[in-house]
Amino acid sequence: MPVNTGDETVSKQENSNILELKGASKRFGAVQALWNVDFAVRTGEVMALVGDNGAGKSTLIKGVAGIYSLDAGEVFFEGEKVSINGPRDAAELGIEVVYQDLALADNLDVVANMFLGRERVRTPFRLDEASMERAANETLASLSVTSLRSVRQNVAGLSGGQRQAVAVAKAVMWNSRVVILDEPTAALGVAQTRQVLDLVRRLAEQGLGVVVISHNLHDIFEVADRITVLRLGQRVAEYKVAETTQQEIVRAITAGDLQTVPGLEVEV
Amino acid sequence: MSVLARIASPDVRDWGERLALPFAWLVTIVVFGFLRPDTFLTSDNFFINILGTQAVQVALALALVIPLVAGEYDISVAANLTLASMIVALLNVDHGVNIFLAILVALAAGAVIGIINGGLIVGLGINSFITTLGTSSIIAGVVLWISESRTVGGISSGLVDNVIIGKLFGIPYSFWYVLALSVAMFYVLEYTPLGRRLLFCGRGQSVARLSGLSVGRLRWGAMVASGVIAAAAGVLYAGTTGSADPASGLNFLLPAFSAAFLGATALQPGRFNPFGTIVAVYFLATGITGLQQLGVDTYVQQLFYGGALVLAVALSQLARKRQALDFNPTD
Repeated sequence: MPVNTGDETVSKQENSNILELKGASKRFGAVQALWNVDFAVRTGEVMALVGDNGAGKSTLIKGVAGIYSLDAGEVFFEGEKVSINGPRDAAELGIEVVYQDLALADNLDVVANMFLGRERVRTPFRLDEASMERAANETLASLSVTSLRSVRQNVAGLSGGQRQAVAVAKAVMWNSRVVILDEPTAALGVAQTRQVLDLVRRLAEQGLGVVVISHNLHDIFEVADRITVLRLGQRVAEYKVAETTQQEIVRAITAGDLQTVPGLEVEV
Repeated sequence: MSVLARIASPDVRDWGERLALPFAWLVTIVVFGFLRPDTFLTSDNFFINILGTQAVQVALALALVIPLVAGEYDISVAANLTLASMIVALLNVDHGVNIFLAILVALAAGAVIGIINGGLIVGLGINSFITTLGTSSIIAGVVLWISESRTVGGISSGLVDNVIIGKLFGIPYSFWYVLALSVAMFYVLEYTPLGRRLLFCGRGQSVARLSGLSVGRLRWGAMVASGVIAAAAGVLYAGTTGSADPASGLNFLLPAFSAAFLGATALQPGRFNPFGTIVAVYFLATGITGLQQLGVDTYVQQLFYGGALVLAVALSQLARKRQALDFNPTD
């Protein structure tokens, strides 16, 4: 097979940015939380987003998710310019975010949580519990999550790893194209971290664009393909995991070159 | 899934907890029936006095359940009840307005109060407890003003007949009205997306917001629903007494809270629920009526309701904590 022609669609697909931000900026009062940030994730890859506390990681994903509106910058989804004005818009595009502590409500069962806001109904006035339960089980099974006793148990009774798995399942249930995970392995034990990382890898293998925010460089080097480093609200570097080292990333996080000196940047 | 199976699910082992309150009610009935066989278990006393008259209290407690599910307080329900009963009386008696129309106006007033409460809570972001404490006082003032502090009697017998005089199986209609209301509420809370979302609003407001629910609209809607149901309770009150006075309705507030919280320990423990609330109202009313027939002083009533509220909050707190929930309705 000729390499230069036949594979063109494949290689195009592999290299196409499913989600791309250009020049994203966001200011909260006197604090410039994001400044002129470019960020992109491709289908089938895990992009890690790293940075110190206050570097702008959460602001960036909340901008993508429609929780915050960006002051400036453009968002492209599958190459098309889009405007995301709320979580609904993001969800409609196929962008799902798994928030660190706020993904699930404790005192409700797994099915209710997974279908929150998108409940299936038999008639407009009747939830279709059986169908939701089946779909929840199927989604969990497709992610090889088998450790749950029942999808009817309350989330409060789940282990940290199971919670994370349910939160991820909730995110991928909607034919999602991009899944953003905020600190998915924080507060997990070794074995559970392993499971979650495997799960993250599996998402990418299924052709999703995956963004992982983490403080744990060890985890990132295990799971990610590329790394974007934020510092003081600016993107200071982007690396391929295969071509960098943890030392280099730490250096970028703590001392990466800024486009402008904080406090002196022009008004957006 | 049948209603019973739904109430019983998912774990059969905590049936004891679910049925503790209904059982306690039964015990109260048996004990007082044994102590006062001539008066307590008569149909006049039990069916009309307890089941019928207390329907007003049930309706008011049910009005509270909706905002409580959504994580908000509505202190203004009792004042709202008083206003509705006074509107019915003034329009019908003083101005000769058709009773049906008067009821509609009263319900509309309840809706308006709910809209104002919701607007203050959601729009301005004021704590619901404080907001409704304030509006409650305002409404009570308005009632005194429009009624000139009078008791207005002589409401159309059409209303009275259809509330407390008319009976089905020996029990006044008012009981069946609130039973129907509770069935409707149970259905909405348990089987519809709306109910599910209200529950998330109260249980995990941030989770709900981040999932794209319009949390503000849901909370606002809960306040409006509570306003309308409280006004309906006022209509029942006017029908039960055939009159309206500017003060007595306010006495329903504390028992309503006692019942709503006590109800949250029964049938679906850890969750504010309409059937548990009904059982709680009747448990409390049965206890009070029985004690009164034993000849205890009236102050016991206040001790009873107040004690029940504190105990119920403590118990429902425990029930929820066991389910690892942080109880923080005004988050």
